[in-house]
Amino acid sequence: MKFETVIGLEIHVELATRTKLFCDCENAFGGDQNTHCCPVCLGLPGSLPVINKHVVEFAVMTGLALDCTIDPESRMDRKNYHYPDMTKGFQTSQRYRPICTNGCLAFTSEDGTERRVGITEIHMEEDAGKLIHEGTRPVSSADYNRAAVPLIEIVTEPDLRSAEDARIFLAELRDILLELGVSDCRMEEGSMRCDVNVSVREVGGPLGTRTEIKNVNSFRSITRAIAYESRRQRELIERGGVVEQRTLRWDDAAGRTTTMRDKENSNDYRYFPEPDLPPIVLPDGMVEQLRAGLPKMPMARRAEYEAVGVPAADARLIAQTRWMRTLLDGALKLRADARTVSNTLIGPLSAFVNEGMEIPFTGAEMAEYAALVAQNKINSNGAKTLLEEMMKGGKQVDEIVREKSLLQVDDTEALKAVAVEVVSENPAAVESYLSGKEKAFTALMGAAMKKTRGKANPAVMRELILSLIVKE
Amino acid sequence: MAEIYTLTVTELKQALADKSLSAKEIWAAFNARIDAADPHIGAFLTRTEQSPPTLEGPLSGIPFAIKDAFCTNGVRTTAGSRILDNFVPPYTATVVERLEQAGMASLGKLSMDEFAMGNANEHCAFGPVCNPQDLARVPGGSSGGSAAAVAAGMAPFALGSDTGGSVRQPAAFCGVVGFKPTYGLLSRYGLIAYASSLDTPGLLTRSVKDAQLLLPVLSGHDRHDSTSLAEAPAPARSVKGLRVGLPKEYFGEGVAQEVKVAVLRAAQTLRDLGAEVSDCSLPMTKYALPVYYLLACAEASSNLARYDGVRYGMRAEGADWSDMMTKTRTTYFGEEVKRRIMLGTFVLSAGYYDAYYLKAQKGRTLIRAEFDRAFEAYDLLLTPTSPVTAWERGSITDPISAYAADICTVSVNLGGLSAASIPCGRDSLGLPVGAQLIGNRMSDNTVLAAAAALEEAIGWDYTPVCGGKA
Amino acid sequence: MNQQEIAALAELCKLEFNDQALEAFSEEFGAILAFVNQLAELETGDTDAYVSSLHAPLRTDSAQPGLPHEQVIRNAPETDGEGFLIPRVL
Repeated sequence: MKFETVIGLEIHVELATRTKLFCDCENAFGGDQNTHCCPVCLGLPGSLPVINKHVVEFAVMTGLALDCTIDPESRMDRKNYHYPDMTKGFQTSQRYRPICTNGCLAFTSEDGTERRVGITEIHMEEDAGKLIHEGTRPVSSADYNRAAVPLIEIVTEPDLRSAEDARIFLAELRDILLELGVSDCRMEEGSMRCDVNVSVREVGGPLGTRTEIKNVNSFRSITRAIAYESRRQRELIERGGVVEQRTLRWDDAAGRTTTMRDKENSNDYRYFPEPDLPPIVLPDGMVEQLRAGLPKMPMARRAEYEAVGVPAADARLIAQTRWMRTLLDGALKLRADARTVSNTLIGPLSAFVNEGMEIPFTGAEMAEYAALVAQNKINSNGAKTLLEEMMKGGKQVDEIVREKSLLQVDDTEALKAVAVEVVSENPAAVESYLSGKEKAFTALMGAAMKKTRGKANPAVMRELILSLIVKE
Repeated sequence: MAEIYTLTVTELKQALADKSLSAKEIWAAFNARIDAADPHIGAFLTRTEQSPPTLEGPLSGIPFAIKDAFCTNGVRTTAGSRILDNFVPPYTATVVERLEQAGMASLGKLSMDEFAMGNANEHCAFGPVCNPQDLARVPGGSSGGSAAAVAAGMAPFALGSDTGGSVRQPAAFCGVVGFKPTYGLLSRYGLIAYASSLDTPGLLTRSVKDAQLLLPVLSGHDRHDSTSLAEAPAPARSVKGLRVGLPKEYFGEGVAQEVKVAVLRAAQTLRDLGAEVSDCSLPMTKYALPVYYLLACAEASSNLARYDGVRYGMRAEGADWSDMMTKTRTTYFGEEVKRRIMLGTFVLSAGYYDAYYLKAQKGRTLIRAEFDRAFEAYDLLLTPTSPVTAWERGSITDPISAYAADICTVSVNLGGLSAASIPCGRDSLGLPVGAQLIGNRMSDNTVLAAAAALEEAIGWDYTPVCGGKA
Repeated sequence: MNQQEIAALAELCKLEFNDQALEAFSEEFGAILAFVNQLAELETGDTDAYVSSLHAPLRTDSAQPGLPHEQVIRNAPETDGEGFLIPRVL
């Protein structure tokens, strides 16, 4: 049997709003237990919810970025079940009319093909509190700081076909959410959580039964969990078994999935419309305003960069990195050679930034630099010096070039004279090279560079020296 | 000289203004009345410490009492349930805050049917309340404590809540005024929820004028309540020329003869005052009870899920967290509450949602549409508040029979309408009969104006009673 | 509804009935169901389910201090001074 794996994702994203979904309590990570709580998020008797406008805006922005249809009159519903981290005994979510539906996110698979993943829906909901199980006593402790923190849940169609694709898709989604500024998407802090639905089927056959895997806390876990579960299901079917629809828990240390307790599997949530919240009617013009204010999406940026010659891998990194983007965008405005700029960004400038330095010059100056390099007006030594001087800040590019005499010498006549000198002054090196020692040539080039104080056009110099010694 | 405790809010306000009475005297008088009468009535669950009020405001010096469904900061609030026996809220309900900001001081928290589920105040975990008109009888419910407190002169005004008639029906049974405003006019923030889309804070007083005085103090948009209305109700229309309908379904078989007679007499009084009174029909009425019970119980089953012994209230021991929750709820919820939670859970459950919950919501749309049509032809409707007068305590134990007594009031909540009950006569046992005036949403001022005119013409004697004992 | 179904329903809403109570409750529940089943007679056709005509107000995203910590846990049936204690959740 030839199997294919079918994967869908449910991604919960904590929104970076100042306050919680239904109350004015601070939405902050960390802090002493139960210090960001009020009657509303504690679900005290008599408390009532009032929706945070920013949450609605973030949900709409995310929907627009993912090409969704925005429902101008979505509703909230109650999902009823008991658990100690749930203050009301129900979670207020959106079941019957979520705010966004029917979107799509395209990404480039590792084999270079474009894949599209359908976004079934994006809905708003509240987070639960946290249960802490510490110490030796048979008790757990509940902390409600996180109760009613706003989440959006992004549900995909089962359109993914490999663990690697899932990882790429998730990375792409994360880039978008970061670009929008709706969340800090830190999986390790729990502000982005992913449940994975996995099923297998014979290629061309009907969809198999899926299992839902929870507790997948990192990108790496996601790929490992998918790989494990798809293999488990395949082997089960090949042995003649049947995959049961289950909620599973990923145990990253053990590298396997385990069944969660039955109670979680058999819940009837009894969804019904939240009677304390009338329909969420989007104010006139909100969607258009948000659409107009959307930042350029990472994929669009990357495509633009690639179109002007930036290699794909570099394009991705530059698009994600604000300082790089700023310089490249500024340089491109002046029609700089994109490849030269990207190389400089990825290479020497990244090195500077990693040492903690800040780039004091603009995209325009970057363009000037790139022009000099691309037009071969300075050689690599000259370029290095120029960049170092630019990093000190305060001087114009042409000022630096003039002061340090960085312009490459191209004058063939002048260089020819130098070549003749070098050859006559280094007979041992010439002989060494002619007898097959390639390395000896470096000494000749070095001498030439020294004589020209590093400003000789290396390609021209090389040709001139070669033409002299090979002739002989 | 009338006893201070017999005065209405309006009269007390006047006396304070012309300095014939002091706030201290008034406070002492009502507390003394509570000391004398409440041992026979049982209306108060928690008394406020005995110190004279010192708050400033337009209603400064006038005391009131609060149904124990409203959260009061630092003061025990039980909703009539053992599960909240020890609950002390850290915040105050908006409507209570507004009264306090106006200068009023609370005498204490009043008994009620547990979580507002009941119509006789026999389902209070802390004991039943006795009707001041006849101590062997029920005061009605769920705001039985509120109605009894006002009828016995233990407070000039009490806050209640009305989900299916819980302010109007006890008012009728106890012979006082019960007013249920348009849904959303008074904030629900801090009102312990029974059925969110039906719950309405309401007023119990000994004159319609008091309700008219208090309504603007209580109403107004509350940013804490997403269902709170921002607009003020329409100005009152005069009784002369008012078109009043008598829906025949409210005067049918299930209604006691003496009740009908008393209310029809009130209808005639309205005619005499210049209103045009005529018969009409609301065929959807018979579905109001099942629609109400289905929706109220569904919402309640969800609203009461939070009582799980984790964060507040009573807790029972359990083998694990789940068992602890089950033991807690089973031990501390009363029987009626459990019945309604079970029914509510059932109608929302998979496979039944469409046939029950969704169908009831459609029924609700139809009931509202029928009222809207009726209110094109009529300004107000007049009906009995209750099909029967106060029954003997312990005489109705079967839940369905109890539910049937709500037939005249529940449709008002389904429509979110405004309604007032005023006493319009007595039956042969001497028990008060309530007449109910119903207006469309936002017609509260017209409802109250008509009620005031009718009240004046009827001339009901609101002198506080205590079953002859005090 | 049979007693088994009632027991399952009770589990959903975290209630339990001992055998005696279950029997009594089953009867009562049957009567209540018959009562609400009257609704089946009503023709609702393609009437819309009731929805509020209001719009949910959208609150400005501005933080306010919540309850002081001691007020948050003051009603806790069991606490370690920081959080709400419950029997261990596995």
